[in-house]
Amino acid sequence: MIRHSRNLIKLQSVRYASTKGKENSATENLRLGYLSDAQNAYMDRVIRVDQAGELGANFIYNGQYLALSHKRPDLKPILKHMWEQEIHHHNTFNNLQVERRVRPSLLTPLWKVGAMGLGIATGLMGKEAAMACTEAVETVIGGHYNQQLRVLTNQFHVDVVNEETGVNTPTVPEEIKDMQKLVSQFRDEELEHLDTAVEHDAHGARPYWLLTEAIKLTCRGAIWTAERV
Amino acid sequence: MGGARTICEQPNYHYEFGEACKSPDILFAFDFFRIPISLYPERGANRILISCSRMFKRLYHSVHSRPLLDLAKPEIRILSHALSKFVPKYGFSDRSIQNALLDLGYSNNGFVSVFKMNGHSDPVMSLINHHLLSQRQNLTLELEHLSTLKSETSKLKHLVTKRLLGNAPIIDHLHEALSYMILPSNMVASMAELHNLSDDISFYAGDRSNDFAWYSKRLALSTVYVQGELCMLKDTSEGFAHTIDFVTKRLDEIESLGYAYNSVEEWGGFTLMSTVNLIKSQLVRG
Repeated sequence: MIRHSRNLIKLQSVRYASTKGKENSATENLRLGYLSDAQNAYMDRVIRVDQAGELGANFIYNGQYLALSHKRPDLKPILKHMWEQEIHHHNTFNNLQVERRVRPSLLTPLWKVGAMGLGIATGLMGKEAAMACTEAVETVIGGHYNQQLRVLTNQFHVDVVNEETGVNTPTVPEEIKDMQKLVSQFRDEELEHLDTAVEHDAHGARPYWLLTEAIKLTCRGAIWTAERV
Repeated sequence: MGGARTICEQPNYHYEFGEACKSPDILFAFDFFRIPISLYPERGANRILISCSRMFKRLYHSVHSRPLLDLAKPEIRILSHALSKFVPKYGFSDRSIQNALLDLGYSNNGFVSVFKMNGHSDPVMSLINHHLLSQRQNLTLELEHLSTLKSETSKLKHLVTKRLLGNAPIIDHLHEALSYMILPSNMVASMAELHNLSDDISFYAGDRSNDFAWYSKRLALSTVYVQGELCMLKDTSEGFAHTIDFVTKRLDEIESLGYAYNSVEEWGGFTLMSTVNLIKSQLVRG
């Protein structure tokens, strides 16, 4: 209780007053708490790993486009569409990283080279291998975004304290709600890419099992590392 | 002693982690090596581990971030008082804090335990750190003036100069503080604070780097700042004009270095692309 009252700031929005069903005068007594250290730490991780991940996706599609655009011009619009979405995701997380002052991943140069290499290699192996690569990557990314959404939904309540009555109302802050929307939108788009890849013969790749499992394993390792370094 | 105990009961750094980490999903979220904080005894050899994990402290800044210094805390009030009133006279020493305690009507029995909070091992380091924090907070007063400056380098110059001039009132005791900060036990905390300073300065100057440049910029800035501080120790010129001149030149050098790096990178990328295209065209011809 001491901790909360010490760390509170004035709440600007009147919206909380209406949720409490009180008069406007009650607004002045409502104070919104800060995110806890653990919540801040989690957000820090989320932004760093997602930025690195979207950077990787951007470069994978870049590599595939380079390798395939000449051999298979019919795939150009599909790859281009997915690539452009990834560029948008990447820019969004770049902005978040700057504004929310998160440290970017130290291994950024490695992610760039690795992702470009993966894209070019699977692209050179042919259309099916490229699509299998997309399928594997987007499967891992979709699961990863889902996990983040779960934590953002369950663990990010901040107390809004009514100073008169001393009643705490757990509320999800606006910035976290925005983040939830962003992550779920991006997850849907990534899963769209997954469907596109399966429609374009991802399962026709040989050796399908080895290729997809190896890429999935690499992605999981990269996620684990980018969260920390 | 009664006053001291109530201060001690207030939550400190480790306590807050313990509180916040009840939820299983983010039990380890803050921790680089995934070692739960409960495994760290607060004293003994594992202090080093705690200090190391602080080096990797997360930097996410919420829209509602905590203020750097919370003047509602008694220990912060005591340190501010000591800093403004007694440090210019007695330096960064126990004596300054004891005087501040007496001046504010606290008992100075057991005052050491009060300032063992915030992870610092002793009162003097708390006092030094308070100086660093309050000077860093003062940089936010420059934001209005910064919006009138155009280039990132001119903003950097302004901020670094302001921060160095913030040392002017305690310049006679700066060497004590510096020598205290580089003791092995204080090194980690000092480096972390130096990094926080260069991070703040870069952010206020409008840095938007997303990759490795983020690290190199901050490292370069920290180096310039430390060089500036060392230069300031021996500077007898009016208004530290010599130091300011020195720092300005160093920042200009960094800017030209960054320009050179970007130019080389651009040239490299262009050459690579044209080589690939050349090979492609030769292949098409057969």
